[in-house]
Amino acid sequence: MEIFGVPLNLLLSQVMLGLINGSFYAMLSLGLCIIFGMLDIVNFAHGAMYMMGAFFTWMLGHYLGIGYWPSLILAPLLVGVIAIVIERVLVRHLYDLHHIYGLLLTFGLVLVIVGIFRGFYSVSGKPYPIPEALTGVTNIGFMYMPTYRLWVLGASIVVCFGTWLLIERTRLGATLRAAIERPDLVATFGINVPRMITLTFAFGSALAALSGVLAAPIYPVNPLMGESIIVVVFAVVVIGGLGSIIGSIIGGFVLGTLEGLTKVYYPEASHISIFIVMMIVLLVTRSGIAGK
Amino acid sequence: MSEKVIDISNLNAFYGELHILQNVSLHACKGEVVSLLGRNGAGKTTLLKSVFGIGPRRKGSIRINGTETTRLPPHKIAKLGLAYCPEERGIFADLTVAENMYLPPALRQGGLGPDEIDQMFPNLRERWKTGGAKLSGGEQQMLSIARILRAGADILLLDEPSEGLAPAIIKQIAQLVVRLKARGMTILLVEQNLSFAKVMSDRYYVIDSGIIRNEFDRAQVLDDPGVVQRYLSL
Repeated sequence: MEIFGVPLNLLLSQVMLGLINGSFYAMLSLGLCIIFGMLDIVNFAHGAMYMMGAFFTWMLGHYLGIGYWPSLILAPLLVGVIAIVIERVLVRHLYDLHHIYGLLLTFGLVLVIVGIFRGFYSVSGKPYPIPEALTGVTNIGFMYMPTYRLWVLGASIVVCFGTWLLIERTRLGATLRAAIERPDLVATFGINVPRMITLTFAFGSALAALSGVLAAPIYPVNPLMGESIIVVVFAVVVIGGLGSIIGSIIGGFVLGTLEGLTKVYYPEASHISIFIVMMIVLLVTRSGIAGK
Repeated sequence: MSEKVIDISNLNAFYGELHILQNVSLHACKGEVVSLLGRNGAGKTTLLKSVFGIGPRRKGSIRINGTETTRLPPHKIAKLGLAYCPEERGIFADLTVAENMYLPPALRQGGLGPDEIDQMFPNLRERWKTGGAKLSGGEQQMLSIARILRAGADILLLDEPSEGLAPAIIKQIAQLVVRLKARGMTILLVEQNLSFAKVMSDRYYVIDSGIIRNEFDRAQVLDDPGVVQRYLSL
């Protein structure tokens, strides 16, 4: 069976591969969206957090012999601690200023962080092995899928919707949403809003780092890996609607799939398909699909 | 005289270059309802925000239960038992009544339990799953007060609770404030509506252009409301 001249099996395979890329887009745009919603900061350094997540995973293995599974916890924790320092020392001074200052600061941070890693490790990719339990392929009916990629897809769905549940369906999430709307009033309830903001920045950054850990066995670990993906992730956040959690998650998976399908039908356009969608969405809705 | 629960002396507040409050001094003793009356723009809301440290830059002294608070962050001031109901109620439109109610954590012993909330605010339980945006002005005001009582506050800063409400609802709010006073709560009430304020107020301060112009006790205002009214009329 063919659809528009493409065999169904090939099409489904590309959908699956697109979903894998979409997993990274969804997790990264989710973190970016949480940070933008709470801090009102356009965090250009999000890609650097992703890169550090992958690099720390490699470093934990290379220098300390710590494997993939502990790194899933340790690397995001390390990046979370770095994010706390960045927020406390630098970012918090910009909350009352125009967005451009946040963007410039975080852009500068990218240059510094990437520069440090380039200085020590150059730009050559570091290989990271797939954990033994996730090697090989799995038959999913219409194709054989590398087991590790299935794991990435499953893990990102769990993390993304777990985070959505946390923010939209728990008391902690209600407090967070209220603090976004009225930080002054929420502070009068006895809630330490500045600490909440710091932890939110750390959590969003840790999500990026977790994506980096998941990416380490798939993509070469190098200091530039965050720069190439962050531009696409910004487009995903804009399409989903700035500040919309669910928009970012669904946008990530849908646009990853769209990119995969474009590779089948018109490969030359695969790298720009998401940006074309972004232009159309902005022209039609102004605030993204799920934006307010 | 009983202890001063709120004790403000020589408070000055600034928005940028604007000097909003000028050497404001006032106090409220335990169990008192003290009304701060004044026209729009007189500095009433700025004063309440200054007490909590959520508004302008300020100088002077603000003591809550004897603790100097001008250097404390708002979340630590709240732990002294102070709570604030803003003029626009501060109900979160995207949250349900239940979520709004449980937003402030219980900070101190003595907060209202579920039964007391139901008894004091019977309408709220019926609207438990309703979104904040769908509540009437009166329901929003009730919820705004209920949630800080649940958290254990016993010093209330109420900013124009009668603003924009129907007379029947204003009467209910007045009865509620009287009940809170009977429970020993200290209330600093900001109002323009003298007929509302005089139901429960023990003392009055009149503020104009950021300066306290006069102070009256309950008997003076009951004898001759005109002594205050002339400051409120245009």
